Amino acid sequence: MQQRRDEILAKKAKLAELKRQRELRASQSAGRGSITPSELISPMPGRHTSRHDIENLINSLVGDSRSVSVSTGMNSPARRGSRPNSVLSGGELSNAATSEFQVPANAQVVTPSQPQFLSTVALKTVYECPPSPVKEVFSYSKGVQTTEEWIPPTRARAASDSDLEDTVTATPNKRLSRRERDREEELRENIRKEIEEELKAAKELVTDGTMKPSTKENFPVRALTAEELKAVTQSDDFMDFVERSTKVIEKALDEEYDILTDYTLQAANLDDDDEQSGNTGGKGRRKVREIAQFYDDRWSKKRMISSIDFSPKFPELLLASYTKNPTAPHDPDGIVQVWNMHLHDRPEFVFHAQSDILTAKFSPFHPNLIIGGAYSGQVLLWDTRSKSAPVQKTPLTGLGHTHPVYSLDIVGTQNANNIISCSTDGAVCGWSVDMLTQPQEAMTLVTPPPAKYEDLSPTCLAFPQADPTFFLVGSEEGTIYPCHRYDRAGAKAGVDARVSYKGHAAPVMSVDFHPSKGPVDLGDLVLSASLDWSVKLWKVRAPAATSAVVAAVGSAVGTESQVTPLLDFVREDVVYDAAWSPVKPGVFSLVDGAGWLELWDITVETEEPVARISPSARKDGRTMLSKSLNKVAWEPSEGKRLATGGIDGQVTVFEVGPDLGGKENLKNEEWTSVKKLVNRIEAVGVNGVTAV
Amino acid sequence: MADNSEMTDSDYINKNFDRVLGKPGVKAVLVLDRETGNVLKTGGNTELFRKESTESSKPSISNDAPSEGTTETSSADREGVIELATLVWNYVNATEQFVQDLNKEDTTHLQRLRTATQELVIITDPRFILAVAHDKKPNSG
Repeated sequence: MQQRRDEILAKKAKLAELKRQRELRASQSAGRGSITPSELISPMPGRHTSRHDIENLINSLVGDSRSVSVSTGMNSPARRGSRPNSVLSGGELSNAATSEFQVPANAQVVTPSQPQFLSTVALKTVYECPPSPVKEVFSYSKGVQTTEEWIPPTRARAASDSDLEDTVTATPNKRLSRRERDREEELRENIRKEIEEELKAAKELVTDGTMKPSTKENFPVRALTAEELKAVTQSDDFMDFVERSTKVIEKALDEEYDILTDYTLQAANLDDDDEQSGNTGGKGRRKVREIAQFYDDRWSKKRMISSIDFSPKFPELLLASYTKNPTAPHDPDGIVQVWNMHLHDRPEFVFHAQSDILTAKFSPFHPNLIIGGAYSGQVLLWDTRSKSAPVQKTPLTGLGHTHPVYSLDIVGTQNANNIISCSTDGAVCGWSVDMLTQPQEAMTLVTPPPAKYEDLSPTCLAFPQADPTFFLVGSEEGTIYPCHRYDRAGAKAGVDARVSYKGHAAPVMSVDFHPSKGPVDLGDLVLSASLDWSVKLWKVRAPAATSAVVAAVGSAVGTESQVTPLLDFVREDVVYDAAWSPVKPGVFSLVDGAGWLELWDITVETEEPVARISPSARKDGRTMLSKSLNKVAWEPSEGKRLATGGIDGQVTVFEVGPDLGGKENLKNEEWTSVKKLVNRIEAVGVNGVTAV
Repeated sequence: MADNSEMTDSDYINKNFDRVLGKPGVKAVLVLDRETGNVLKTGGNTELFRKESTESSKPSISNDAPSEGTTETSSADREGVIELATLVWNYVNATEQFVQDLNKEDTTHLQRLRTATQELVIITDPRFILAVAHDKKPNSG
């Protein structure tokens, strides 16, 4: 009993001793836990004496941990030594631990780069990072992990392969890893090929279905299930690929010239592409030949063409804008299709808008941009690098246009250009291409004073080549007005009240300035087309000179001077569009409501067109009221091709003979003869022309 | 476009294939997965890629799912398609290897292969392969 009591007492004493020690330690560690700055700067002397040892320890530990982490990956003292925060948590407070704890605290003062050890240790916790080769990884991933969750074996292996590849060669190159995979597949492929050869050999002996399963089994990789196939074939990637690749294929197949043509073979088939075949008009050197027609069942159906423009950068591209398809309420109302001369059956691009597109144009300053005007009054901007939706559009607010925009243009220079748009309520807005949220400039055109109504309804506008601040608008009443964008000497911004070009009795459908690229400046000649069955040629007064002219002619009392046309080309139907040739000074083309495209050369003949042609009808197209042509456009660089389109939604491209287009045989006399003609008419008057 | 559902998407793809198939001289179209060589789509008379097979299959666009119930295409046809796919795939990979041997940074985009009887146009992409076989134009050597 006594012995037992002694034992208990001894134990109690021991416990008390332990308790005291623990308290001591606790107080020590608490003091350390909240290290005061002074302590940091001047540590306790006892510690100070052992600093040298400590630094040695650090070095040894650091050296250890570096070498160890690579080789084994598990070294607890090294780890604890550089994880100072974890020490306070556990009851593993031994003397060694405290000294180790102290080490980093001191070391942080001594060497500020201490935190780097954190990262090296973090790396160390990756157990399966042996420098041993591939096989160990395989056994690990295969044997252990598959029970837990299913990872596609090929992908996992490929991933670990590439990982290894990356770590070993230290080049994280995707191509390399892909090639690695390809090589692997190639190996598989070789095996498969060998088997296949065997099978073929077997096939010659026995031709029954026994080899079927084995062939299937060895087919490149595993076969896809229906679901997987569906997933792949409906992915965006697949769509994009099909879209792109079929375009390329079609271009390859549409290519007319065969580079392997052997002219030494019999020439029997050579003459099938005769000059007489196809749709042609005109004769000899003024021949017009139809070379392409563009129509897409999906997008062109039941739509009308509202404008056509050739790309200034890529002569093989042209755009056509379309009105809505009344039978397809779920399709976008307005579309713009970009057609490629080398891609016959489908558009290169299709762009959408929520409202009918009434006019569209390639930006002359940026080959990727297309601008358009909509029935809703919006001005839209598309980018061929982006998807079909407009990249920018003006908001449907009172800031811009609230009426249909039938005409717009981009004017200025490469570095400073504006979109100028006009709507049928007379509003003219200038927009920055970068920001369509609000117009940079805005004005409302009004009919100058003598008129009964102030309202002016512009249907088209045109800028001269030389001056981006002056333009003409054709109006619904038939008069063409000169307008200024800004106030200038003698004229305010807006319609110039002193001059107007009266002559048309019906809405003006187009106004076109002469492209004055030649030895003689003909930039003041303007063609206008109107629903009054005529095209008129005008000589426009220079905007700066108008004040002088008015002073001279209008007897300085502010009376309006009316200008009459130089020439009047009367046709048998409404004329929807007329356009100067971009290269030949005397040549222009017009399209009418009867479906005729006419080519005129005023240096040759002013009474009759020199050539006329009608686009061949679509096979499944309507026969009634489908021929009318709305727009005509020349290809600007060569001037050899022109495109037209109208009610039936089909774009037709024609090529003209050497006397009507092309830059080969341009003569300076053509400019001078146009100039002479104009001078003669001005001198003699309009007799014999308008008297018809 | 907003109202494009999945169906119209695949319709659109089929339409593109139909249009290619409708070109004069085009005999067959084949789309493969670049990595695995799986047949994603066939169109036209794929038998015509190769001369040796004599039986003719009807020209049709079909999503070739090997595990799908194959009612319209017989298994012999499928095997022919698979064999053909293997040939095309091997050819493409060999070419790719050749191109990469010439220049590591380079990659194949378009291959036109003219034989005495036909022309193969193969477009390669990091993910897919499209091969078209068509008759060569008359009067070419």
